Amino acid sequence: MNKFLLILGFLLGPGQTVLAEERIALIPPSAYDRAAIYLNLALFWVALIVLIVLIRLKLREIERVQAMDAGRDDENIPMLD
Amino acid sequence: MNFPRLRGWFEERYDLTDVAAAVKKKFVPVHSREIWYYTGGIVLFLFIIQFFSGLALAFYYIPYFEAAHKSVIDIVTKLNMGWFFRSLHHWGAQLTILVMFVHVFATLLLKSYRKPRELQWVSGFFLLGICIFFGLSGYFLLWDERAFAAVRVATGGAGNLPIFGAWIKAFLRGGIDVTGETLTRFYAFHVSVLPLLTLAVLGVHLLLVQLHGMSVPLSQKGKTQRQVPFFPNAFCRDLMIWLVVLGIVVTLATLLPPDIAKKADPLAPPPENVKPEWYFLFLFQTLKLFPGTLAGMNGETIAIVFISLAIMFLFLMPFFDKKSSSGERSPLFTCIGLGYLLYFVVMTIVGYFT
Repeated sequence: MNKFLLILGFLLGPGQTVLAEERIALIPPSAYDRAAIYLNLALFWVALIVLIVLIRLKLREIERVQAMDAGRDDENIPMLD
Repeated sequence: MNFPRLRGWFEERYDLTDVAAAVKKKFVPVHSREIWYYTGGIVLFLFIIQFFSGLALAFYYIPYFEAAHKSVIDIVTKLNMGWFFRSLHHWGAQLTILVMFVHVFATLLLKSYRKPRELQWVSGFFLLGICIFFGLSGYFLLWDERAFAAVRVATGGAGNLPIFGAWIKAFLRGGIDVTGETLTRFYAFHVSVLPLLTLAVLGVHLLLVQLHGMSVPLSQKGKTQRQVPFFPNAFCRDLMIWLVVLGIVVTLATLLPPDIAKKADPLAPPPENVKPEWYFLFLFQTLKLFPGTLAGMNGETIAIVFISLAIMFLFLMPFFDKKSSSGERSPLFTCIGLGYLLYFVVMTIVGYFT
């Protein structure tokens, strides 16, 4: 009976973790670390979106200037000297 | 943000006017199919991510069969941000191969391989092969039971090739079977041989892109062609797409870190339901279609020969498609291209769900 209780205690108690297959924590397991990771991911996306918007604005400005043909040299421009 | 002094410093020492003129001269055609142009740039960007994340991992990985698996676990569990770099490298690899397949099929279906860009197709095809071998060799470095079984199947399959098969198998494995020697060999391939090959072939590929310019699809020929300068217009678009790709890779790396299976045991039987990586699933499924023996010959050998011939035909497609080369539409080769794409997608899905 004592043996039976010992085995039952081992299987139901903390001993079962010995039998369980060891799990590898693929990301930091603590809730605090995980919250920090997800917060950083959100901030990263915000930074990316800001960068994309800035590049888009710059591109629009470039296209506006190109549409005005401002880069083309005028051959008949009067020279002062 | 003109930095005139820095610019003056360089201009005093180096004549950069030719480079600046070449950059100014490069134009990109604008049309409804231009979205496919960006897939090549995405692959290039992913290569850069792979290079740097791989470099970080190489500082801590131990390429010895008794220590390799533990070193990966240590990278993931003990190193600061180690889990992230490993996950980033994994997802970067998956996306590189995925986008490369998209790039190849877009080139195939838009007939961008036609004269005079045949060598661009050939160099791109080599890059795809290198990339797949990168994936296989990198997967094996984990030294877990799934990777071990996958490499045993893949190198065994190569061994079924007629004439050179046995030699290729022995060369890849570094012996008769997959052992610690194979790990050392795959590590050498992964960190030195393949990166050097990639640099060389990528250099040729990019040089050819500069030489021939961007291909305009046959369906867009004759329509009024608008062109925009590569720098800054197309470059800014590339940059925006790269930022989105960076966001996707980082998100996948953070939310879905790849699993690590049990350490490989060369003497243990392979685990049940073991499957290769997704980009080998279509080959895996094709092998399953063939019986053990066919007309008195080994079925697997016939399957490997059949697959090799199909890949060879795809590789040589620009040289067979004469109509596209002369600027005519070639519906036959469009159908063949669609057939290849359909077969790849269907077999990959079937392989994944069965």
